[in-house]
Amino acid sequence: MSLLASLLPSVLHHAAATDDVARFIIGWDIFLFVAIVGTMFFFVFKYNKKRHPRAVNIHGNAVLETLWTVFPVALVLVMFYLGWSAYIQTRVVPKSAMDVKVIARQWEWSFQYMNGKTADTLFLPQGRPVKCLLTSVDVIHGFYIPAFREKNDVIPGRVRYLMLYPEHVGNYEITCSQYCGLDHALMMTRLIVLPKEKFDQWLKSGLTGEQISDALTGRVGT
Amino acid sequence: MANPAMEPGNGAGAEAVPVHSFLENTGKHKGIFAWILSTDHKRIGILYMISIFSFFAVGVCLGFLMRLEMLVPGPTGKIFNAQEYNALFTLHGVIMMFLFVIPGIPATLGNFFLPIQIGAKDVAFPRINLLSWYLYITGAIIILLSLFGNGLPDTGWTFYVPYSIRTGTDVTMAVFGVFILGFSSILTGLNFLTTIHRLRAPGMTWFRMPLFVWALYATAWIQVIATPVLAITLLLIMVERLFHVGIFNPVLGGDPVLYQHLFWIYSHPAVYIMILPPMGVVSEIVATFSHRTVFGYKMIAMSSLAIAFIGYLVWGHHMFVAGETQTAQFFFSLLTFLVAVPSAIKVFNWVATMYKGSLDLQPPFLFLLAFIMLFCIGGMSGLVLGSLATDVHLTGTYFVVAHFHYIIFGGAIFIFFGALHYWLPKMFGRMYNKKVADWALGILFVGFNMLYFPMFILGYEGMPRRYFAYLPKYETLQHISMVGSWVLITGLIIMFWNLLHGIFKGERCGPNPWGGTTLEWTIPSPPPTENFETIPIVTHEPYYHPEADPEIQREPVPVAK
Repeated sequence: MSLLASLLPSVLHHAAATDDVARFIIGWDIFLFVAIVGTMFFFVFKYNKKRHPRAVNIHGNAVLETLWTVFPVALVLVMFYLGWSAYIQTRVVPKSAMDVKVIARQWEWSFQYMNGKTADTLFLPQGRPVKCLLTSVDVIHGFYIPAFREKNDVIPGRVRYLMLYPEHVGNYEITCSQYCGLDHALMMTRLIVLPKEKFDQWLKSGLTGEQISDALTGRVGT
Repeated sequence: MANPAMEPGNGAGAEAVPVHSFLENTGKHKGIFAWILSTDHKRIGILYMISIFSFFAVGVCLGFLMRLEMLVPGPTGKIFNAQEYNALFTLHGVIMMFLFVIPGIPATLGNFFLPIQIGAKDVAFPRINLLSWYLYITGAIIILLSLFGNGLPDTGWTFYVPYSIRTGTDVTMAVFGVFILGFSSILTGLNFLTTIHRLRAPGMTWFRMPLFVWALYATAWIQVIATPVLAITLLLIMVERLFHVGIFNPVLGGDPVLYQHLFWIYSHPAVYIMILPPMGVVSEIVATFSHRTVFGYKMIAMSSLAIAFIGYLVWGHHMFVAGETQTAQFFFSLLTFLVAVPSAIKVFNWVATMYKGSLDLQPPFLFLLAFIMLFCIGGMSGLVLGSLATDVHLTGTYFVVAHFHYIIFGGAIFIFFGALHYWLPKMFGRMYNKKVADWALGILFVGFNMLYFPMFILGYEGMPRRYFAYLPKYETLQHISMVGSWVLITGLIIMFWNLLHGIFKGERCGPNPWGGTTLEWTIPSPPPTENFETIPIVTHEPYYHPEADPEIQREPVPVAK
């Protein structure tokens, strides 16, 4: 299983790792569903009253019951381990990480950089780990970037964090995942990952919309 | 408290005196008072049934309107604006959870059949039983009043602080209402525990109890132990409000996450209050229509207790992204996976019970087949949410909405419907139209999957729940889901019409239309006021099919044709 190989700290790797865990679990789900429901309908067909007018009492079978206890336990332990090990990778904060303050309020996001610059769109440089420091000025919000498969609640009175590894230049959706009132559904913004030199330029003096779309031309995004 | 038919001097002779069914008024009260002042567990069960299904109808309408809002993407406000939509899902959640599913099967069919299944004339405390119905009604009124105290409620059914504090919704009153409901739940639980411990008929040993009784027993323990947490929460909210001590409100220096912990310490076990009784019904139905004993009786009984016990320890999985330490996340995720195992064992046992049975495909059994499929999908999608990496992606999205509707609606409520098809002929002595019942189930099944399956995909694509507006890329799936809600509601209308028609106008069906073996099938339909003329003496297991015993079958049997 490639999943158990050590994970590289990059956004797409985390998204892929999450999808791998999902694929493993859903794969077993489908297999078990077909096995259980298939067996059930086979019995419904074979032991139908018309075909099988006399039932036979069977009170149990120790071997079978042990097997179908031990096997699910083993299977769910593997599922647990995969989910856990993929998750803890996202909690490691490398020394090189850049801090960005994420401030949530009803119903907008704002982002504050270390040089004091603020923005309502999250601009990040490609290839540098980012530690988002999450704070809320009012109620609980949820900082969610679906393409990164990451989210964390933003809780007033606490500073929490979310690690991002923007591996590719692109334009991604940011939404609020914790119900926060009237315009919860409209509390959206974008994450724009720029090449490093473009990001530095943006941080210093800003970029025009045209320059940004030039930098993003032909890049990934959601 | 003897049966009037057995009292000397009551009529010409014991033989000639008719046994009064519980539907006939024999007490001192008349009209509606003969019902709302009755301490008969059967009448109380029906009172509950009328109340909770009324709330269910309201909840369904609200759900229908929520889906209708998904007709057009974007914040158009053409159908509902944000405020209205937020009120819809709040009311839908509160009504469905607290007023319908939590009282659910125990308060209705449990009240009706628990005493009969263990050979008792009533529950241990009949007057407390009636009190718990009044508490339920009082709690329901308080909750609904508190929600509308400041205009439309919009907190979501979880009342998370600090939003619920800022919004002006009276969260104190709402939690107080839930607390009153909780008392109704605690009293029902206590009543059931005492009844099961003290009122079993002679010979009804623990392992001769029907599995429905075992499930209600496990549920009752949860009701008694988990519900008091609500009282603690309420007390803390009041201390904060009245004395301005910062407990939950960050403005006063409190911690909103503490509220979430307390909320889920009650509300997660409440999920097992919702699902354990349906599991008990499944065991009854599968045994009756397979015409053989259940496979692994003790395993099924014990797994109910295991679920009840482990179910206390997994509340933290609702809060993986809400500020838990990694240690907490580790153990909550691990325990969440382990609680899946006893449920899986039950499913294996039910399917194994069909093996070498003689399966009679009557409507209740078809509901059971639908239940197994939907419950498997619901439970298995729960594994995706129990795993940390995937939960971080999916929590708070439509995936969670799909998951719990598959468990609660596809699981618990589908089998509640199955239970109505199974037991209403016993309760009223009349049979509904079976063909119509099969068709209604088919429509329900198709509508249900159309409605909720697309939500798994929407969730994985990253659409958060509780959004009144959505991006155009989700349009197709939202539309499939919306049309599914129409199909589902059509099925509901046909099913309820058929059942009601059956109750009043159906053909008389005799005491045992399905060939059931538990005690309720040994008495007349509808049951007499006192249930049993003489308390039965139990001599064998609940699913007793001597004709299906291999020992007996080995002997040459005269062919009866």
